[in-house]
Amino acid sequence: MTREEKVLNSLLQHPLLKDKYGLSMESQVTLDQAMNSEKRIIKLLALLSQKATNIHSNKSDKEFLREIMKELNS
Amino acid sequence: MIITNIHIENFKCYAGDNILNPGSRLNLLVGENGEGKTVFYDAILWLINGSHQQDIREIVSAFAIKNNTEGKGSISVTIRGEDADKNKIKLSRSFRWRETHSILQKDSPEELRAFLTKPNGERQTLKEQAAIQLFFPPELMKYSLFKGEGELRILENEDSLKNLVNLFSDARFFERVYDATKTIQGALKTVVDRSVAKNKKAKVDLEKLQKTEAANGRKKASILNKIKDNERQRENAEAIINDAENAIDKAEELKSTTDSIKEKKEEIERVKKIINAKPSLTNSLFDDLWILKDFEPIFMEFKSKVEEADVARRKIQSEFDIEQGRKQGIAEGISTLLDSEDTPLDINVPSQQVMEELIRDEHCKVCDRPAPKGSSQYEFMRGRLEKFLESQKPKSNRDIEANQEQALKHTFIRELISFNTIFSQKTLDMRELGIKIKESEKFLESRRNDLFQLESELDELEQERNNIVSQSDDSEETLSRKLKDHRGASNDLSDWKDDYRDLQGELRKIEEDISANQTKIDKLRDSSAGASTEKNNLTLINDALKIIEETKKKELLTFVQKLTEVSNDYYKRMNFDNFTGRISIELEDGKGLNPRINIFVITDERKMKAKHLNKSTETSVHLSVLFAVSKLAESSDLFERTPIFMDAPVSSFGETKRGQFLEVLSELENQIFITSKDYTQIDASGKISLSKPLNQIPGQNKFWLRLKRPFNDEQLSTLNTEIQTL
Repeated sequence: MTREEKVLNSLLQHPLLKDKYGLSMESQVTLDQAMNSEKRIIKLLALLSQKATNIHSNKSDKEFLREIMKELNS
Repeated sequence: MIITNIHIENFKCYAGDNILNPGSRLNLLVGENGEGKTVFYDAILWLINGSHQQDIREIVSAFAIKNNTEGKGSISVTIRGEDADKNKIKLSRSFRWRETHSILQKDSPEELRAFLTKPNGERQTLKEQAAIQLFFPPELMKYSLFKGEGELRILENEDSLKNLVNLFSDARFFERVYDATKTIQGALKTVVDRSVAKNKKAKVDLEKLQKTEAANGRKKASILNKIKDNERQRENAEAIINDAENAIDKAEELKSTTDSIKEKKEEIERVKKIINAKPSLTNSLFDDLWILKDFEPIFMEFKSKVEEADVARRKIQSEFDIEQGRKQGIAEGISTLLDSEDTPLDINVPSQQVMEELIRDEHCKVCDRPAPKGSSQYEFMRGRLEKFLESQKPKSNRDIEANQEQALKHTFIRELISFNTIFSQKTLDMRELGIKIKESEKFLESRRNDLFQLESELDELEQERNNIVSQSDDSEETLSRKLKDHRGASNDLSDWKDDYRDLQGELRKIEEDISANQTKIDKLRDSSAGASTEKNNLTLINDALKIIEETKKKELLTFVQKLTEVSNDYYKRMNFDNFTGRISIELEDGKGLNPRINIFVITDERKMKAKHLNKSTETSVHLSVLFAVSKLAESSDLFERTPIFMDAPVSSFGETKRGQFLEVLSELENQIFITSKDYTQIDASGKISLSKPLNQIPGQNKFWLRLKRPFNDEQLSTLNTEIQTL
């Protein structure tokens, strides 16, 4: 599992997802699976998790933010 | 990075070429005091930091200078290592030196050179700092080099542990995610607020709320600064208290003794004053009366004789008075008879009647001649009659006495009796004086005894004070200062703690205000028309932010719990069969995304900072946490494992505990260099040998650092340490 996926799966365990969004993660999720999820919150968390290992990321901050906003507005 | 070779040339007591090929785990360097262990550590430090303004004679080997016939040479420290990718790195610091007319100077600039050789043989030059960082990353440098036990205290700085935990736990990744999410939140808020501002009233309300938000933010920042300052002040106070604490018992004992000495001296002065104030007995001794000191018996004899004389006198007087009385009685009888006509006069003495007749008739019937008035005959007769009549008058006692004869003509009894009275009083006065003098002497004697006692007690107290000072590592002045500092710092700390509570209260209040204000802003945004997409996105981002923040805290907590568990494991093994309590590593509440991390030791449900324990326990706490961090960091991909150098880190440990400590070190994956004066011994003849068989000495690789013999213990230029691989 990559660093980003570890971070993502930790985030997906938060009780708010279950309480407010009715989501329950029973197994580990890959980044691709999360990015393709129908649930916006999961997609958003997946996108944000990419920031975990920023030093290895090829995206600039600007590109990254644009991608997030695009996803949010879609 | 693993160090594969250390080469020390002409550095201090390491003359010539000295090579050490370490193992990848525990490397134990043993040696007696003063034979090169700490210099080995200094060589590594010189490699990393350089000479700065140091006099080169302080680092160039005196042995090498003296024995070099050319008067010139070089000094260098080189380490070679290999990283996880099998790259070989060489790092070397050196310069050339020359001695001319006893003046030692650099013959070339001091250089730090670094090379990297890849597995394929390709070689490249590295920038110096980059090379140093390959061996000792800056984030880890201060956790890799420890000179003595004191430097292990670095973990007492809560920021140190916080930094280490952030470095090696996954919590740091969440921080990056959080920062990115916060940026997006800000952008969305701007869009939504623009939509809110389209409504005039909502715009005014929003601006007002945003102003309040900004003001609250400033206020909160100010409170946080005050809290930070308060924490710093408390740390300073705690440091002073801690520094003084080891000496505090002695200092208080010293103060108490000093106060007692002062009181004793005052008491002595008071007694001396009393003694000096007592009237001089000299006056009394030379008083008029004192001459009569032994007078009483003489006086008693005198008194007795006077009384006897007085008795005799009165007896004589009494007999005389009786005789006189008898005579007076006869005279009075005769006088009575003369008054009566019946009593015939003596033939030669005319009676009163006859004389009166003669005078009346102016004719002397005795000589039968006329005696006219005024004549001598007349006067003679009148005179006789007057005398006669006078003699018949009743006489007073005094007159009787005056006319009486004295029994004793001169007696001086009266004077003697008055002397009796005077001397009797003097005798009483003398007795009183005698008593007074005795009492005074007794009083003074008693005071002198008191004084002697007080002076003995003073001597004892001063001896006690000297003992206290001699048993302490500090001078009397330092102990007094430490006590004063401790008391001052304790009071300050108490005040700072009160202030801290107040500030925390203010912080809570402002956070409540911020939260309440935020709720109003959110409500305003929600209720405004338009930008519904942005509003929904903002809600999503807010939720994401909350999830990230709380997950990070949870990760941190998990790591800290794990760290506590692993630390206690090392701690127990290092202190096997000793009472130690247990380590507790805790996050401070309410510190946001970067809470401070504190290390405590819990014993009997009492929580203490490690610095308040005895030295060896404190050291073992720090080492345990350090090793635990190192262990947990093995799963981190951030850094390669760095070598650790420790110069005599456990000098306060007893032999058993040192053995346990080294056993724990042996099991660590890190490459460790540790110097120790254990495992060598000196016999009666001065010969040094190993104190245990080699197989009983812990460590993957063992080295013996020792001075070549013979050497002159007063000449630096005879010292030359050799490194022997055991």
